[in-house]
Amino acid sequence: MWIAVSINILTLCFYKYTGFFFEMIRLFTDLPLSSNLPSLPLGVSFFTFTGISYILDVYNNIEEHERNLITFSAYMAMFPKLLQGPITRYKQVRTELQQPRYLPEGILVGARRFIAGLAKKVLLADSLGVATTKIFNADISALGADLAWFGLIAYTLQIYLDFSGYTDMAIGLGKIFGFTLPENFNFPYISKSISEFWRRWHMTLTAWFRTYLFLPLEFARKKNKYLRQQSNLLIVFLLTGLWHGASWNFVVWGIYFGLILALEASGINKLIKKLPILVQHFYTLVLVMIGWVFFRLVDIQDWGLFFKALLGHNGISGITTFRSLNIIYYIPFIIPSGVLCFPLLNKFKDKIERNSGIWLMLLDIFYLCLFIFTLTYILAKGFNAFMYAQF
Amino acid sequence: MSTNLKQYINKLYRWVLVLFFVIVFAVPIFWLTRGKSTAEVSVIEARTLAAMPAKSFPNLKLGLELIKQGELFEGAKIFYGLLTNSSFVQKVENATSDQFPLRMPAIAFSKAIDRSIVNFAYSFTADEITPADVTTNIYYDRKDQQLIFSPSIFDENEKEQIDLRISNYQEIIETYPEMSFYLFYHQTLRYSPHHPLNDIFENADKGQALTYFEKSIPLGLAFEKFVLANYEDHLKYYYRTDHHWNIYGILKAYDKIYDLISKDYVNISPKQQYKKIVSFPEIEYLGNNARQTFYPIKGDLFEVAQFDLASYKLVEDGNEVDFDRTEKYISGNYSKIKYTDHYNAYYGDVPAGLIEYTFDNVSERNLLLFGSSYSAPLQPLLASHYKQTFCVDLRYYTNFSMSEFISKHDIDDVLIIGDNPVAFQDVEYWLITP
Repeated sequence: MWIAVSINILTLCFYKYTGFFFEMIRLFTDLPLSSNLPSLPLGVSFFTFTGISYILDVYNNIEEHERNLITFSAYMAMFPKLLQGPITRYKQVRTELQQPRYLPEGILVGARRFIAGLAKKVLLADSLGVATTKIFNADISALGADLAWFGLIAYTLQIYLDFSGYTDMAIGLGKIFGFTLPENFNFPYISKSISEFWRRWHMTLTAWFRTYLFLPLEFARKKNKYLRQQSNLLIVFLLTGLWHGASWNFVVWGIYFGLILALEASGINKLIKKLPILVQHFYTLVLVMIGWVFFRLVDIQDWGLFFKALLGHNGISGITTFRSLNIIYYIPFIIPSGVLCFPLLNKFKDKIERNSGIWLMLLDIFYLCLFIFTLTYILAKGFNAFMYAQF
Repeated sequence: MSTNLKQYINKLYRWVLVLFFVIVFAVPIFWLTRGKSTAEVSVIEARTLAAMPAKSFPNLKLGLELIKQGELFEGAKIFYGLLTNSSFVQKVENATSDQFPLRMPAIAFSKAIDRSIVNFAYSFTADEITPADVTTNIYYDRKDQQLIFSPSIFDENEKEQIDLRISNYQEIIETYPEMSFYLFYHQTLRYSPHHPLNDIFENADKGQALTYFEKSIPLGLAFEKFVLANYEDHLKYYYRTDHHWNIYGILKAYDKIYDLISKDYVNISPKQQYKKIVSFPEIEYLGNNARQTFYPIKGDLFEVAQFDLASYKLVEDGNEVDFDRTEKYISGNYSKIKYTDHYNAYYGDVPAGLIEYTFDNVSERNLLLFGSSYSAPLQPLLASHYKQTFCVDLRYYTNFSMSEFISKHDIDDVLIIGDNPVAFQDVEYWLITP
């Protein structure tokens, strides 16, 4: 088991962390380490974690090992989820892999989900991405509070719509081919605490770390008194940060959330729950958005400047800067993007799907138009890479 | 709702699903049924569309062959390259996009939606000039109904580039003291102090690049400029839908250049006088800015000047050609396709590195002319005063070397015609290798 897990971890480390490791060594020594590093295989973080989960599940007798190489390969290389997940445990797709069933209803539901994801990504996330790139690439030391806040809000929406859009596409494609992939997002921005946020954001990664790292650590804690739940949380989120990328900003981003979760686990959560619900939402959203600053700005020196900008240290940029950067165009995108962060539309859609009839037909016509419209956008503006593909 | 109606609707919406897959598979079916894909030219975009890459997979075959021969490591290297090199995928993606059925109407539709969002977003402001679309830096001026580029930026980087160009001019002039060097600069709106968006764009050029250059004009470089005295000048001398100058700008530039070169060139033949200005009212000229944005704007009136030039031979990149489109245009023999680039079609539509004019005249002087598409309409007029004129566009004549060139051709005068990038600001293309 250890050999198999090590092969996966070493593969991940070799491709993803060699550069980071060399950079650390160069900081302290003059060793002439090569800067000609191997290209990062797409989805390496996702398929190695999928592999590890399979090995551990088989080792722990949770799962029987798959004897059919083609079925196993189909699980590992399932193309809808290969690039960005959801990280799928074998038990979640085993039955469907062994006995695939193609149902017209599944195809229809899958097509709807795929179109919704594609539209989220192309029409909203990519558009907001242009605005955030303009703002975050501008001179941060001179950024006004209005522009900084707009950039941060747009980025908060962009990363959710981009990643959840991909997940929708993956789940939709899975459905079309007869597989039910696990959900990865459950409207994370409506959370009332950071611990709830992490139960709603990138759920399959959180579940992976909980199952294969946090729970064993918790089990160990009961045997070894020197470990505490808080330290376990810190370890898990340090590794969650590192999983996202081999650079300091992701390390800090992980530790940041680890610390908040440790504090929440220490009893602060009970205090937060006594606050008015709106304050709870505000608390969560602000902390999440602060986290995105660490996530977005790779250069640590920019963090202080950006937070100063958010606090109004540089005054406000004003409408003139919004004009010259052509940010005004992107303001209307905030509204539909914001709406998609709430479950309102999903509830409406679910109701229509349950009742069938003419509303369902109208919904499908809407999806079809949305699909055509999204294609026109791709033709006119091209298709941008998914943000999480780099991880 | 009755059961029959429900069943009918359920049947009907299955067709929606069918339609979805028809759209998804339209592109591969289109490719398979149309046979071999060939490179097509898009008139609107003025470029050759990407074709599907050849499906011969030579590297795959080579890799397999090497493995068969026992060269496992070499074979594996090729397979690794195939996996990590995404060039084939990129070619397929580009071709998928370029060959997509109804691509241009789809792009036009997408841009129309973009415009609606722009109009909505800017409806909360009192702006008269708003982005024409969001993928370019072209703006629409509602008051004067024209499409203009946003102002160019002037900063330390631009200063460095100008310094480099000045040094380059000095080097060339010192290396070839027997030649006369002339620079004719014309100011376009984006570099002008009269751009209506100058106040919005921090670091807008506002003529600063010109001022900076003028402070250090190299000795031996005769300089003349055609600057915009006000915004009306721009409207008068340049197209509303294109970045190029119109016939009035061209004629004014010719006058100024003639005056510039005639100071040293004492025996120059008389200035060419145009017989008449010919208008083509049936052409609604939608220039580059309209083409890029698909902005629903009224086209420009396309006008040209008719001259009585002596006969001449024209060689373009080694091939004898005919650029005189006057008769063709007058007889109505021109492209009727909307968005045709009439400026380039009329004045010479093939991007060429070297164009050689040999005039049937008594002149004994030869001219080397550096310029972009702005110089195209001026080339025959200026060439008529010389025996031979060599027009070089350094964007296409990438390995140009002055020493090599003059070893093959006798050059007396060197003239550079252009706006900021060509005249003194761009160092990517317009540095002259001595």
